[in-house]
Amino acid sequence: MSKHAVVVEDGQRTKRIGRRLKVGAGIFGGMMAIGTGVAVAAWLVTGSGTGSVGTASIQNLGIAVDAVTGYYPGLSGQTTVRVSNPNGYPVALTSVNVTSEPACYVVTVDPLPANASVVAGARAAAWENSGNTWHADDRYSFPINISMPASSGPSCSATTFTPTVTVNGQVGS
Amino acid sequence: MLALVAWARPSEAATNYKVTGSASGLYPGASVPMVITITSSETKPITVQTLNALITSPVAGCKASYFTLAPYKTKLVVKAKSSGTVTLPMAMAKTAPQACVARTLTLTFVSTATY
Repeated sequence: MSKHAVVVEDGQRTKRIGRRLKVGAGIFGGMMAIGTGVAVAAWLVTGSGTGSVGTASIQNLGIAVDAVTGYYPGLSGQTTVRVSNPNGYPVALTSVNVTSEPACYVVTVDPLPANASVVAGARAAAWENSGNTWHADDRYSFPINISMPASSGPSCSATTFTPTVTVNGQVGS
Repeated sequence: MLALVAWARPSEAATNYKVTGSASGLYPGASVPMVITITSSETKPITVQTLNALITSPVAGCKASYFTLAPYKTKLVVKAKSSGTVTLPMAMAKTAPQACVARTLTLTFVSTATY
């Protein structure tokens, strides 16, 4: 009996130990979990302040037109318009207008081609998009048509004419 | 878990570090680098977890929504009593109007960090 009792007692101890182990393991696990939480915890601090962003200014495009001379009644020709962009960024050309002097000179201009919509010097947008450096002193050039009407009178003789050209552009869309 | 376990330090209700930044030359459709400086007076290194900016419109005709500061995704570590920088692209919408020309926008930074 005593042996049996001992066995029973041992069994109870075993059970108790087992329970204690489980409880202990649970507590330990809990502590580990808490310990893990503490280990990864961090103080939170905050920061603030101000900053600024400046947008670019914009300057008018520069336009240079070759003067016209030596025309006579009935003669047609062309002269070149050169557009420069003093800004540090491309400007899209949207339209061009020219002014005639009906008595002596008739000026016309073709619509600007689509690939001329970006003034990045005389270079195509694709060139610029390839990572090349754009230079502010580059020019975009295009011709304008000039003719002296056959009906022009003697007052048009030996005159020099500089067409008035207006080019409109925009940045962005 | 790491990001969630963080406590605000009660004694430090005010901000613990300064955030400043500037950029220039922005135009429609472009993006310029904004260098943001974190200056910490903490005695331990801090890791900047979040960084946001509230953009204030310079004038009525130039909405703040035309401007975007790229999200902060890195985890900048700033040494104790030191400063560090992070560069985020600042973009301007292509549709920004003429009213946005030659303006200065103000950004208010709000940031959190851990240590």
